[in-house]
Order: sequence, then C-alpha cells, then structure tokens
Amino acid sequence: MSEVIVVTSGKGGVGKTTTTASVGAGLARLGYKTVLVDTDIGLRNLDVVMGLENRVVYNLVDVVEGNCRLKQALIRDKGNPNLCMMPTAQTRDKSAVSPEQMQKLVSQLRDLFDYVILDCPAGIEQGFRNAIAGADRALVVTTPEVSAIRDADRIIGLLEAQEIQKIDLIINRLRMDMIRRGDMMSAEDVVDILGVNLIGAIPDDEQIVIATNQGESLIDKDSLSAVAYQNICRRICGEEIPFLNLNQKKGVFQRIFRK
Amino acid sequence: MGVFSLHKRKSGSVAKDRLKVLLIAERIDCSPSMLLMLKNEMIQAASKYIAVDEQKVAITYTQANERLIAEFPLLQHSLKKIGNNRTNDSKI
Repeated sequence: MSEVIVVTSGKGGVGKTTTTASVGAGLARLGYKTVLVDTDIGLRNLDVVMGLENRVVYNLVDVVEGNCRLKQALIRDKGNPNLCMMPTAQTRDKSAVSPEQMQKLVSQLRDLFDYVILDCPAGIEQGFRNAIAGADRALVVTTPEVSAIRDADRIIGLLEAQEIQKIDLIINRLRMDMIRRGDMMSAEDVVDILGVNLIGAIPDDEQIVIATNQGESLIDKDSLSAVAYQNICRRICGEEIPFLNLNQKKGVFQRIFRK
Repeated sequence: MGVFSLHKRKSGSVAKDRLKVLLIAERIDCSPSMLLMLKNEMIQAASKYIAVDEQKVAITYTQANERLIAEFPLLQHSLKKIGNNRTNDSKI
C-alpha cells in the first residue's frame, strides 16, 4: 500500500525542502521506491537542493497539461536508484494546477512508488491547497521560534479541517546550547504547545548548508542531523526508535559505540 | 513584577507562555490580552466566594468539544474533610 506524505509548515524557510529531500533519500536507502514532488510552482527548490537542476526537462505542470508523459518528468537521483524527483515549473504560478489535477497526478504516482512525498510551499493559499489534495498524512515542520510555531498551529488546524488523519511534527534547527541556557524553547515545549505527535527533532547543523551547497544528500553524511533524519524515516515505516540525545557531541568514539 | 527583579525570566519561558495564550486566543477568536483579562476577572470573582489557589488556576481549551474550561484548585485548609470515597464529580 503506497503512502502519500505532504511536508508542510506554513512558515517559509523552516526546512520543508531539506526535510523532503532527506526523508526521501532515507526511505530510498531503506529500499522503498520513493518519489519527491516539488509543488512550489514559480519558486522551485527541490531540484537545486538535490543537485539535479541540470537534469530538468519536463515538470509537473507539463504532465498536468498533457505536454509529456508522466515518466518523462521524473528525474532519477544521482546516488540512489530507488529515488526519483518530479520538478515543478519555474515560469508559471500556483494557479496553473488545481487540487483535482494534483489528486489525479498523485494517484498515478501511487501506482509506481511506495512513497510519494510532496514538498509543499509556504503559505495557506492555492499552493498549499494543491499540495494537500490527495495526501494521506502530513509532516509539519517547525522551528522552536514564535512565528514558526504560530504558523504551524494554523497549518495543523487546516490539515485537520481537510481530514488528514495522520499529522506528525518535525522540529528543526534546535540549538542545544541555547535550550540549556533557557534562551530557546525545547522540543518538549513545542510539543506541549502544539499538541501533536513528535516524529523527529533535528539539531541545527552546518552540514545541512554544506550538503545543499554541493547538491548532495545529507543522509549519508557523518552528522547528528543525518542520523535524526534516518530515524524519522524508520518511524515513518512504523519502527519505534528512541529520540537521540542531541546534547552529545558527535565524535569518532561515540560513533563507533553508539548505534 | 519589580523593576529590580533579580530573577529575570528566561526568554524561552516567556515565548512559551506568550504562545500558549496566543494560540488559545486565536482558536476562540479573542485577543490575547482579553483572554488574560478574562482569566484574572474569573480569579477575582471566584476569590470573593471561595478560597482559590490563585497561582494554580488554569484555563484549558478543548478543541474536540469546543469548551473553554477553567480549573480553580481550592486552598486545602478551607476544604471540609467529608469522606474521600466518592468518585463522582458534582456538577451544577
């Protein structure tokens, strides 16, 4: 049974695209055929984050308008044969596609892949409505900051109104030094405020910027955030994994003795 | 809330409290300041008649059945010790 997951947040810049790319790579590594769909028409970024910007020929709008076959718009990932990406159009806007068209596209993708992950744009307008059409579950990404959490709360309300049953939270950019000083809300604080199940807590990590700079996947890198994303993937598949202690410093010996 | 308060609250804790009030206020379509005024007025009103543990008064919003519930923990010394065996809540 295929699963369609929308990665959303409300607030821009909290890590939806990074999360889509990393979770996609992680699920593909676990052996699942996975497709990532960029739904941010006009402001596409999934292609560049994955280092596939030179391979874009056809895109989601071409498929919806019948200018190409669906498979022609799929780009296989460089490092991971289980992983594909469908870019979106850059020179159109969100009105180019309707929720019904998205639903039709998503059901076609269901037949081909185990996981369909939709990278949702920021906001609550047409782009959001398109991305959530046809989704089985949602990953809501937030950071431990006032604006992001407020927007996440609104998004959760809209997802519930759309009757998306499974909503899980990912808290990104946690800074343990600030949390220890009391200058940043902790993951527990955020869960307490939003009241949604936590599926992952990602520390703020330079490796994420570096990986994006190079168009490489974070998931294979030697960093705590990579492990955190891997754990999210396993939880998506139903495994129960205890949350990482983000206070650890990732050193050579800890890597050897820690799983 | 003295100007010379030695124990200044950490910003993370301030943020959490602000957000909790804000999100309830947005759900019930009321401004955060009005929600806080509502809470304070309720505490004042209740305190005229019963001994309330003011610090522990809590307002909860339950989305499922669209209720705003106020809890007034009572100060222990004012409670009459009538048997503790009853399990039903008394409602008026």
